[in-house]
Amino acid sequence: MSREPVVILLAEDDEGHAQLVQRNLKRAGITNEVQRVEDGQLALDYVRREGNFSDRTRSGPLLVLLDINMPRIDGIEVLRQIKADTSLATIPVIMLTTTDNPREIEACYQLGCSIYITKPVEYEPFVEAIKRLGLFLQVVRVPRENQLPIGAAS
Amino acid sequence: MSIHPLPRFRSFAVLFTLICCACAVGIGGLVLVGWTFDFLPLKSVLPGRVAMNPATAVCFILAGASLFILREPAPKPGRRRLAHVAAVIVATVGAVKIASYFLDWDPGIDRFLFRTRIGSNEIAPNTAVNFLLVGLALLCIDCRTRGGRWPAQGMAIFVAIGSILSLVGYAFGARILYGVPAAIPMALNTAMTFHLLALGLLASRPGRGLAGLIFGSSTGGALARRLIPAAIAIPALIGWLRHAGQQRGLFDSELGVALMVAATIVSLLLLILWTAETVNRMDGRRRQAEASLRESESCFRLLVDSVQDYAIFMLDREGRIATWNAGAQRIKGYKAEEIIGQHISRFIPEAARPVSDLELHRAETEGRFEEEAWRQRKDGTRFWASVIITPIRNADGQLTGFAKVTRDITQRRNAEQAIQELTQSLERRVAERTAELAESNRQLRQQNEENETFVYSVSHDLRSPLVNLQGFSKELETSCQDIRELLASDDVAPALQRRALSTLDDGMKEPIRFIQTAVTRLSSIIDALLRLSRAGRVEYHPVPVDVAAVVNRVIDSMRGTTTARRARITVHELHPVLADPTSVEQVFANLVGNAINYLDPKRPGDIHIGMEPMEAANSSNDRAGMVTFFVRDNGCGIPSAHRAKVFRAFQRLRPELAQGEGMGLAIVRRMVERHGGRIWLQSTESVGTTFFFTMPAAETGCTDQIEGPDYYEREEASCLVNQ
Repeated sequence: MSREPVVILLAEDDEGHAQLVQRNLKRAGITNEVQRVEDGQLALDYVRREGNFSDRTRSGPLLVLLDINMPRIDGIEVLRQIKADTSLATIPVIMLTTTDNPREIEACYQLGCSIYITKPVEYEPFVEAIKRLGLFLQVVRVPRENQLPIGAAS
Repeated sequence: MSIHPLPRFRSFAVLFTLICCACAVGIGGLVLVGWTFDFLPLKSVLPGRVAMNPATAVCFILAGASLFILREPAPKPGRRRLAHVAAVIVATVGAVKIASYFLDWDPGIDRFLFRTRIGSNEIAPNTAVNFLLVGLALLCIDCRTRGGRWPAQGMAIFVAIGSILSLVGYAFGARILYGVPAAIPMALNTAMTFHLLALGLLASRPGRGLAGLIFGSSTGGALARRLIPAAIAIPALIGWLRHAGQQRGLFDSELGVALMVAATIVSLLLLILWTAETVNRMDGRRRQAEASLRESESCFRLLVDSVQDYAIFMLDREGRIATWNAGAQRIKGYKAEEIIGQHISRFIPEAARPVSDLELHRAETEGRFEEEAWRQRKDGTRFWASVIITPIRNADGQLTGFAKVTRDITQRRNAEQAIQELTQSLERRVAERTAELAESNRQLRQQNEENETFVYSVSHDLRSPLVNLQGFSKELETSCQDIRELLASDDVAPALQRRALSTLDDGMKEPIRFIQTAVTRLSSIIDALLRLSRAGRVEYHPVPVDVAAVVNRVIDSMRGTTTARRARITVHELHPVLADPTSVEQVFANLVGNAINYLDPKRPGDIHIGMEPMEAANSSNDRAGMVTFFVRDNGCGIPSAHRAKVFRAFQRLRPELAQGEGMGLAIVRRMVERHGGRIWLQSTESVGTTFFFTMPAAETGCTDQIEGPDYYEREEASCLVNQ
């Protein structure tokens, strides 16, 4: 597998948060393409190449950054559906959200998210978290998309 | 009918039979020996007397052996057959000899043995008759006529009588017995042996007929036992006296007869008088026994009759009612005359009839039958009865009837059933109530969860904009920095540079800083609110808590701060409490933390943690059953104006001394009050402050139980300490 750059799918409804994440990723030296979607449905469409993204052909390593509170389909449901689908289950999913309800954290880990990051209000720790995420992305191996079995469940 | 012989005669009878058999066989044997060796004394005992015929001897041996086998009532079949064979031989010999006397046929059965020496010795006619009888008696020893008599006994008696004359004659030396050649008299030993055999036959069945009478326990037996010796001895004595007198010439024959008759009459009269008196006495005793028996019986009957609550009555062997009492009449409804003679199955309701016979059978086999079941009264109504049937046996151990006791326990049964129903309905109600409680518990828990979720989502929603605020204020800052760098390049005019920089500093940097501080503050307020809300909602599970251990842990974790502030903490005796362990720890951590933080820098800190003496448990004071703890410091004190507001949320006395939102004491108060306690303080400015709070006391002897995660691993911990 060649070292193709990972595509980051950022599912975040709040424009401000999305901007902050992207700016700081850049500042941390992460130049990977970041695809932003505003809600859970679009996120699922993207990974399944349906709906608005049915004509997507790019197929490289994919990583999903998921906020929980999103309209239409929330982050937890997206996580569940991704992990339930064998063709998509290997995609790493990172929960990035403000809530720190231990029950929710537990639920996400049970469903199979790779990491759960709480967005702190303090700016420094937030940036630090993103920076670390970047480093993480640089070292981790993310499976290529076209290695996954084609044809997600509709 | 078999009369039971008195036990002391039974063993005597057995022994006696054995002796008779032995003698018969022995005598017969000796005679044969005598014939073999021609030894006269053995053959005829007394000199000049007739010798026993060898055939007679053989017959005696056979008869003795046969009686020996038959002395037990149930010998083995093989041996019994032998005995019968011997008896048949004996009888045959007798019969043949009798026949030879009447008919012309003489097979010479008595001259068979010792042909050469026998001479004219032959079996006497009476001997022959006796042998026939003995043989027949042995054969039918256990036969019984319809009238209940035993023919064997009759025959034995006849044999005995038949030999008596010979014996007596020998005793008195009657010449007539010698001089009759036509009828060879019975030899002495023959007569004796016949006697013994006859008596042996009688004694072998001591419970029957004549023997039974003699050996029995009845008055007749007692009399017979006393009179028989007299009947034998007295005439013999009188006869001998006459014989001796006549021999000595004291008197002649006519006087002798007269004397004998007179003596006999007198003896008989005396005997009769003695007998009458004995019988009278025995009768008297018997009547007395009967009377006392009747008396006790009537007492008993009176007792049974008078019992009203129990039906006590007797049954015969087949289960028919024999007696009745008042209780039976009351319980079952029948009068005595109506019911006596009826079968007890009457009392059992139709449906259960087939098993009624089982009662009696089981009573008989197990010795007692007891059950609780339905019974029926005369009018058809049913009642729940306790029934006990016991068998009655006579002295032989045979069943003669039953005794039955019945009790009407309908009321008791009803009461039992009512209790059971009550218990069941109680259990049902308890189950219902438990289900209700479980349901309401579940609802509460659900409510709690919903509240929890609500709080989390609210806090999340509140924080979300804060992230933006903070994030973008940083962006602004960064952009400011970028502009500054841009301005620092050479292209820019210095005047512009100066003005632009000042605008940046005053107009942008300062405002941004204020924004950031405000956001931070807002964030911690939200966190604190979250904690306060949780403090009010979290479920408490009170357990015994070792307060001393908790306090030590708290102090350990603050060691850094304590040393930094040069404070000394003294811990006094602390009583265990029944509380939520985490809450106890939080309360102490907060109070001790405050004490440290609000110390007066002018003097070394001196903090005391302890408890007030406990009130008596049964005191009516509202502090009864509670432990009052205190945390005392010698810090700055709290001015009186502030004391009222101390426990309110967002109160911070000296913001410069410590960080925090002023939430700690509000949370502490919430916790203490949720445990049913109170918290208050005493303070003097510049002297010090003492916080008091109460918590429920635990039984002594508890162990340290701090459950749950270690306090200081939780994020709240550090925040709380910094309040």
